[in-house]
Amino acid sequence: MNKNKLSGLNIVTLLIIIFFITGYIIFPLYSLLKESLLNPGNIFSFTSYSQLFSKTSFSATFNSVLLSVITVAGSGITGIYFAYAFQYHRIPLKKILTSVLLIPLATPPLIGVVAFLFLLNENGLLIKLLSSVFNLHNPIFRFDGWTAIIVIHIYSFYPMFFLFVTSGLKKIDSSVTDASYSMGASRSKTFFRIILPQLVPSITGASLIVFMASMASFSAPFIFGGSDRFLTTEIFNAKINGDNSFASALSVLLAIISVAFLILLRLYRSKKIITQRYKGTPKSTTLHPKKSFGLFSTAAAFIFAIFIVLPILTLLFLSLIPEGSLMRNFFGESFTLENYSRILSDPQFFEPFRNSVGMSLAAVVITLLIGVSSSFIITNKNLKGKSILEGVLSLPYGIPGTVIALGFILSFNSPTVFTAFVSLVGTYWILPLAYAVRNLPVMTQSSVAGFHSIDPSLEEASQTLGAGGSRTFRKIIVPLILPSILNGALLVFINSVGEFVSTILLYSYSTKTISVEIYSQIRMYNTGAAAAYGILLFLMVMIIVYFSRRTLDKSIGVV
Amino acid sequence: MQRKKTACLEAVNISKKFNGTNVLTEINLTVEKGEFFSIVGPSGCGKTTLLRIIAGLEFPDAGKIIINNIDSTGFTPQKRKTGIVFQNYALFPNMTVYENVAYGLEVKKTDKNIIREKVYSVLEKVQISHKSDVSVTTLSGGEQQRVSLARVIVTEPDLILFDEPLSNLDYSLRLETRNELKRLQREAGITSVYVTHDQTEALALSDRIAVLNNGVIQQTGNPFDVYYNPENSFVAGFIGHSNFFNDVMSGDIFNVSIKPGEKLCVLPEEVIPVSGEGKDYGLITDVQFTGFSVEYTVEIRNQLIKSIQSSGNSKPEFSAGDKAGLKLLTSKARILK
Repeated sequence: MNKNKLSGLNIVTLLIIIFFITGYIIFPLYSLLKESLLNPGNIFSFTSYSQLFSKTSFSATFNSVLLSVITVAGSGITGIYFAYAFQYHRIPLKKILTSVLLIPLATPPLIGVVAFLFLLNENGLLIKLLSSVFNLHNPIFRFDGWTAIIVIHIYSFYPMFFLFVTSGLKKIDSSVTDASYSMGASRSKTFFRIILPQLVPSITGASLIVFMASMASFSAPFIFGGSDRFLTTEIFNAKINGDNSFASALSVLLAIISVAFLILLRLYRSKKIITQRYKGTPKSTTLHPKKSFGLFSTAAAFIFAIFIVLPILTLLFLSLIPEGSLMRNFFGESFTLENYSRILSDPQFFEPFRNSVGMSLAAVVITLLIGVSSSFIITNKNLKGKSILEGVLSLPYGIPGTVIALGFILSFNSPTVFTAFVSLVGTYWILPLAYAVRNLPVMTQSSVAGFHSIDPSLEEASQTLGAGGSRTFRKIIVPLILPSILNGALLVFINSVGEFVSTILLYSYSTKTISVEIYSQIRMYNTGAAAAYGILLFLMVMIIVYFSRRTLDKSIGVV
Repeated sequence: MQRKKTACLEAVNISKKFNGTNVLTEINLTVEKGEFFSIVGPSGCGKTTLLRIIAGLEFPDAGKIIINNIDSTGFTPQKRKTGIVFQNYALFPNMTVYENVAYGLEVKKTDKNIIREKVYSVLEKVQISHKSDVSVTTLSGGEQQRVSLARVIVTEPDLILFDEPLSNLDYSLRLETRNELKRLQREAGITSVYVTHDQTEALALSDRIAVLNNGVIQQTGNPFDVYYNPENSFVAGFIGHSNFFNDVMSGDIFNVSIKPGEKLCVLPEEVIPVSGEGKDYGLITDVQFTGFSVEYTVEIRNQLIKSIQSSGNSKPEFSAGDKAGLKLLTSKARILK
């Protein structure tokens, strides 16, 4: 394939890509910036930015950053510890435990938050249980504010560290640690002097990602924040209070912080390629002969696994209790499937389901079209300004959902060329488009990885055997990138189907999604219904993850 | 002109630059029909680039590629009847052994039954027909190598190009595959161009060899010529690991007088350490017994001289630290400029 020549089809594709990213990434950000620079009389001013220096805004910024730092530290310690323990210690049922520990990775953030709410708030299941066992009148502890948010953040984000560090540990040749032990170094000395330094790239990567995710986190501060202010919730409040300009200024601030971290992440990734390679295949680390520590790790892993599943079990328990009975009696009620049957039979209750699935599928299609064709051009063509294209495509990864949603509202509340001269706000399509934009980096990255993993000599081999460009593409390239693309598509679906952050700003009454429905049921104290929606969403995601893992593991051979 | 008619491949004045650096400079070579031709040189000498130009995967800045008397310089790889055996085999991981080998025939829209027949016959030849329905990702290196060869042979190309095909195999498998390759090539009678950095491999396999260094052909000839009659010191050093002596040393040690600026070029097996009166001017610094041979390193006037002798069922005469001189075993020592 000629790298320098663009065919007619390439040019058309490229124009579509440019049209999409201009309209749905650059234009919303531009609208935000413009709005932030206008005062209520639509005159250019820095009023909104001067408000950023007020005490409340400053404390929101400070809180968001502090929360992110604590989240990184907490998830880091947890994730590194379990990754290390699972790699080096004897722990029974390791495989099952690993799957359990990774559950939060696929759990939609709102589900985690709601589950904790039902487990640990004043009327939470565990609190009530403890109160009745010990015959207390007041709850034994209060689970809200900072503590609650930090616990939930660690719950949701520590798997990043677990995954990154595990793959880092797998790359460490066991001969290196064996050498350290044979020179008389203790286990802790070996860990701090030999293992930890080699994990720096993994830990840095995970830290940057978790920091960004924590800055962008909305559900936990929104539900548990109380009087504590955070940037994402401040943006939401400003928007709800009708102060678009101030909401935009806050968004610009949040976007700048997040994008700065995104740039750091990209720099770190480009550097990481030049890592030391061992000659031959690194042997994965053998277990250290001493296994006394295994007992402690086993206990820790099992307790932690309970901590992971307990909130989900709470949801399941509550979803089986009929509406209203929770207030009267607690454990005496019999279980029924009433909540589920209502969701699945009553069209009004089923609609959020249909919306979420439909919108997520639409988002998958959009990201497939834009993401796959972009990654094809990025990996197969020498194009001036290719790095700009790549940069813009990865931008939404660093921009919090709240900010994207606000950008969409400001851009598409009047007809534009990008929306076929229709006002999108309040329509069905604004949601799948927002999901697509938020997930474009995920799709692009996985298909770029797919294209990169193809050995260029395969294409050459096909050519020398007489195959033309289109046959090579159909018979060799497509089958090889398909698993990566499928993987990307599933991630996009999973991320979209439980999306809450931008949905809460963009939905209208007729376009309610599951996440919005869960939230409104909680506000109406319909615990059972909320829990049932949560469990259905959770099951849907888990089933997809389970089957995609199985098929992907099969289809990706060892190349 | 008679010779020209049987030429399968001619490269005429091929030059290629990458980022302003000359990778190939005015390469001329002719490969006869049915010939096994090797291009040998150190890594980075441009041999793989030359191979890719022959295949049409790269295009030369200047010069012509003529295949079967047809100027193919501007042809895409699809239009040339050349097959490549890649260094990393480049098997299609999404296909089975059978599908990989059938691919080139399917491209030509060959009849299904004929494809079947041809594929099995070739798989039989490379002794892998029992694994025809296995995914190629489960094969060992040696097996992948054979499938990769079968995939090319089955299309009956005018020319097979080998890009260091044995370098990913371990030593004993490499020797075995080398013999296998030679046998298949002889049986099929397909013209082959073989690129390698391993001069032993080139000598053992080839009808003729071109030695390439820094993008320039140093010498072309049959293995014997290239080994015993090197045209310059690079060929002598790279192919034969020769020792070089300047005019002073040549006169002092061997009593062979050459002009200043010339070098006496002596292969390791043409020189032997000796002891005796007036001959302790050198120092044996290393003795390695490899089984069939003994390799001595002798230091004389700060220069290390290699000597390899067949071990002949006796213990090495010298050990490291011994004093020794050198004796020339040939009357045909080469003099190079």
